[in-house]
Amino acid sequence: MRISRRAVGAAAGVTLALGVGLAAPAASAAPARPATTPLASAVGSTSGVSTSSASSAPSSSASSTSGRTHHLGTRSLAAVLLADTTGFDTNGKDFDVLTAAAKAVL
Amino acid sequence: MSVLTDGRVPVTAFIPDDNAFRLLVLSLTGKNVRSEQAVFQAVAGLGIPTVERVLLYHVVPGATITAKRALKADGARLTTAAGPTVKVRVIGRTIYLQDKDPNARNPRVIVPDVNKGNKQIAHAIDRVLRPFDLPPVATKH
Repeated sequence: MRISRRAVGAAAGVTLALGVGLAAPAASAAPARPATTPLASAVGSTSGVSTSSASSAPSSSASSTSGRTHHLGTRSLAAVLLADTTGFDTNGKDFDVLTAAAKAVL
Repeated sequence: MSVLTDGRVPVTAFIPDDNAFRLLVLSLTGKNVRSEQAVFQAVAGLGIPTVERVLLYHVVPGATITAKRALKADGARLTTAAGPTVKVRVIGRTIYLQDKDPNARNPRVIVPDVNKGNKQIAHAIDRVLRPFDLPPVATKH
């Protein structure tokens, strides 16, 4: 692959095709709003996260933050990973093994 | 894993790079495999059910967790698609993930916010997360 991690990091705020190069942002992707709440409240009404402070998070904060997901784009991570079509190479900083493993599982 | 194909479903994934899998193979076999093809074959040799369990341990369904939010979430436990939790540890500006193998070095986020702006977001990590305590065959890495 031809892209450095530094370049990836610099462009991570947009969208990227792993290991190949930067891809144009998905048409449906809207820019993420800056997070203003801790993780616990950010995902308080969704599954997957628990923290010691989760129970103290205001419910109004949780619901308003979860509503933000409606403004996010729908480009899947599979699409991001599969954008790299070059396969195994010598670049240890991309995700060829992960992609192959995920394909094997699927 | 199929949830990763549906971009309408909020997901946060931690994605190990190829070096991370090479280190996993080194840890499990004692062999420093350079070829990515050989690394994959070694990983696949663990068996597809094990590979699936490991991969699912990298997926947190139901939440789009940006790095900015994760940095404010030291100590949070994320319930993975595999079932067991992974714990967020923040040291300075670095996000570490504490898995179920106490002997292995904890992965850290090396490229945050992959696919940012979408419901499905990922953070590249430098080690493979371990959903169980893997027996060390070689020196831990």
